[in-house]
Amino acid sequence: MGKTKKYAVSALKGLALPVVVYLIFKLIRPATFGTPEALYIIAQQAMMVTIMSLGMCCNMTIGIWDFSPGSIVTMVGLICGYYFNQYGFWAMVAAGILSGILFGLINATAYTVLRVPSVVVTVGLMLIYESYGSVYKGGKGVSITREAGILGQAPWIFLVTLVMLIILYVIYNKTKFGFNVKAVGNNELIAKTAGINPRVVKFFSFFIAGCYFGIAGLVNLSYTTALSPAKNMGTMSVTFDAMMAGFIAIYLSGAVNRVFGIVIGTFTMKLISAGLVAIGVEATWQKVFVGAFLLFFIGFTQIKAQVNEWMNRIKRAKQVKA
Amino acid sequence: MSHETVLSVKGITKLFASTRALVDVTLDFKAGEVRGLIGENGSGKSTLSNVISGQLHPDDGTMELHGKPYKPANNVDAKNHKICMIVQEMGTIDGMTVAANIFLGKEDIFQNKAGLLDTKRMNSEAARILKEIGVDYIKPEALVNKMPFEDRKIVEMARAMYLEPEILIVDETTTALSQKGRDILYDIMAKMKEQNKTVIFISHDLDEVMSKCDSISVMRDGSYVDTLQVKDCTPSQIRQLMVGREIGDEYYRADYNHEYSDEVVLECENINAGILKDISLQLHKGEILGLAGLTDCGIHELGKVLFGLITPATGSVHVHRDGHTAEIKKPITAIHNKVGYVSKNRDQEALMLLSSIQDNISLPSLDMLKKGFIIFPKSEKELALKGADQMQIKMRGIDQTVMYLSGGNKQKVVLAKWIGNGSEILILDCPTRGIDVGVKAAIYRLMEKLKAEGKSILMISEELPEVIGMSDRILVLKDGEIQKEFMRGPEVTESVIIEYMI
Repeated sequence: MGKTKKYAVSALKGLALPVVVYLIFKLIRPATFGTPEALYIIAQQAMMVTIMSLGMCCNMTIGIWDFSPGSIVTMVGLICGYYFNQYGFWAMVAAGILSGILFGLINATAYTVLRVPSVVVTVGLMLIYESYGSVYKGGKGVSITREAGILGQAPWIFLVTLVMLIILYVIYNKTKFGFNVKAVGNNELIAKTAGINPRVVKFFSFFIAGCYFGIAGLVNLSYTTALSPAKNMGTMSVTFDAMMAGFIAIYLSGAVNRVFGIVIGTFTMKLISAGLVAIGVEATWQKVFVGAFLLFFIGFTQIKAQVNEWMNRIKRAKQVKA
Repeated sequence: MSHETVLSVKGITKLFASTRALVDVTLDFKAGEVRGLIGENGSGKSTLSNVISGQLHPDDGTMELHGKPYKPANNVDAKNHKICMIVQEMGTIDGMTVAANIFLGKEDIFQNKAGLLDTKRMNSEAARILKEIGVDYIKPEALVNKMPFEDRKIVEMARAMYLEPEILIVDETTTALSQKGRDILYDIMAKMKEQNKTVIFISHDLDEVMSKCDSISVMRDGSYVDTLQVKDCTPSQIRQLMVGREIGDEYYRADYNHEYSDEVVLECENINAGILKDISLQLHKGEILGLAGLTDCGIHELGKVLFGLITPATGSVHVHRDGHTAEIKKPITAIHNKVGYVSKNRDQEALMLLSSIQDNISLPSLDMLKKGFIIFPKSEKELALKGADQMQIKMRGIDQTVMYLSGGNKQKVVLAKWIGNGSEILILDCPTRGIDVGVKAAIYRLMEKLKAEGKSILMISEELPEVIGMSDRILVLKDGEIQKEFMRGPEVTESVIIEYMI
């Protein structure tokens, strides 16, 4: 197979999922769903989650569960808002980048020093970040002007995401760190005997994630222009959105590179939510749908293998009889 | 060709808690030789190779490499000294390409000035190494998890060979390989020797060691016994050195009877599954039935089908016991009808490694032990102790974790669990794989005893001597089909059987 043809086939395989989702909703609501304008908005909404999910990519490959991204995005947004109102646009951008680095370091240090399972560490940190957000500078929430939210509007929102995507693509596919991430994720013991230090790899994986969440926080505030502190694990649903995109990317990884799979994943997830709105599903039920979709999606590979085996047996039995 | 000393081991002692794994071991390894390292399980040969390859630190003693002190901090340090080890069950990393696996942890050599990896050069370099060891059909960009087990093992060899080791330690690798893989490994060893390098070859297979090595060092109970030149010694001499006593010819069964009852206890009809094509066989009461063939000929799958682990596309498996018949579709039916199954993959399929010896032995017997719905610890312990005692498992106590037992002792635990369960039919898949002579002999004696008690054994094995030595009847499989049936007798030899295998 030629290289061009190979890429074309993998692109088709990867795009099949969002296209199918689109067609289903389009058939149900041909007039309201999926007009070009609506798709453009969906694409913009998908960008913030894409940046988050890109940040989670290395952690997910290693097998680290991180439940803190949503709370970091909110916390960074609050910090950015404060700095914008005090010192202006560039201070806000700097605050976003620096606080992302800071949260990355906190997460990475907490995980490597405490040696507690990642789920426990990150849920604990999420509660801390959320609570801190609600007392930060009075806890009243922040807002910025529409002009200052330029990074949350087209074309900048797409450009920022594109840059983050290219950086991760290079890190994940073209650096020693990226190779080590895959090695540690698939078999830590072998990686260790090959001279790789899994703890160092995990530290940097958390750190990179934090940096991405910082940028995502900045983009999120720019897009919404107003933000209030979250509580009661309210940031979990956005974390789940990003995580689900990651799972879709894992599912597609046979055909499409993980990094591109994430983009397809976030877009698909946003299409589904928009579709559910279009057919008039209530917000609560939307969550039920999305949760069920996640479970089905993760379970699907297992079920598929079983069905395949079953079909093969029937086929074989027929051959023998013939 | 010079035969100067490359590595000297001087007075090495290594303790694990109170066990003395190595006691004052002193020996030299020379350039341009293939040295066999042989000994029973627990004799210290693996500990010694782990000390040389830097994975363990000795409590006492020194080593010299090319006359200079050699004290590896870890296995990476040893690799930097050009000492590499290929181990029995290590493996490759799924989800990564062949090239990425070969250069695992060494990716920096392909880093360009910007800190990015030149994957193209990585692939071409991998292709070069693969070609060098004669396996250019393995593609550098292929994902290892989509390759057969055998080829993945070869990728591991390529990983070791890439470092151009001066000393290559091969630790019981061949038990995991079929003939093709072995031949590649032997080629590598021969090439190393030609280049005046050193190979330390650890294997349980005495014939293999005799045919591939120039000299053999024997270890026993943590001590170095002697080094013999292969051309001046016989296998029985070495066996004697290994165990410190005469084993003689009573290794396999001495008789040529093939007596067993006509009563069929386990049978399958027209099995089609995976590679298996229309297999029908019958196992009789008091019979040892051998299944021989190459690794991928279907013998292992057949064992799983008979135990209900694989559902065949067509055909059925029946067990006959006390006048009633049951169809085996799931392992639970087999277990209830006193069928036991010992898997070839001991650590993955036969044992709960993190559990105690007691938990492992009592597992299939829990139904038998329960009073109402309660299992009393006392009865569980009694069962486990009895099993452990019967099998003479070397252990600190019944609550010891199985993970750290030697291969032979692990296998004894597996056997104890089925015997404790009162199994009347045993399906043994490679029961002596990776096990030393002493335990091997014990397992053969056990099989004879079980046969005498009227129990039935289906022995699946890739080692012809044991199939010939132990079976009443032998079925030879090739490409999933039964090729030939042999009855026990002096005329059945390896060369006769091999003809039907390949």
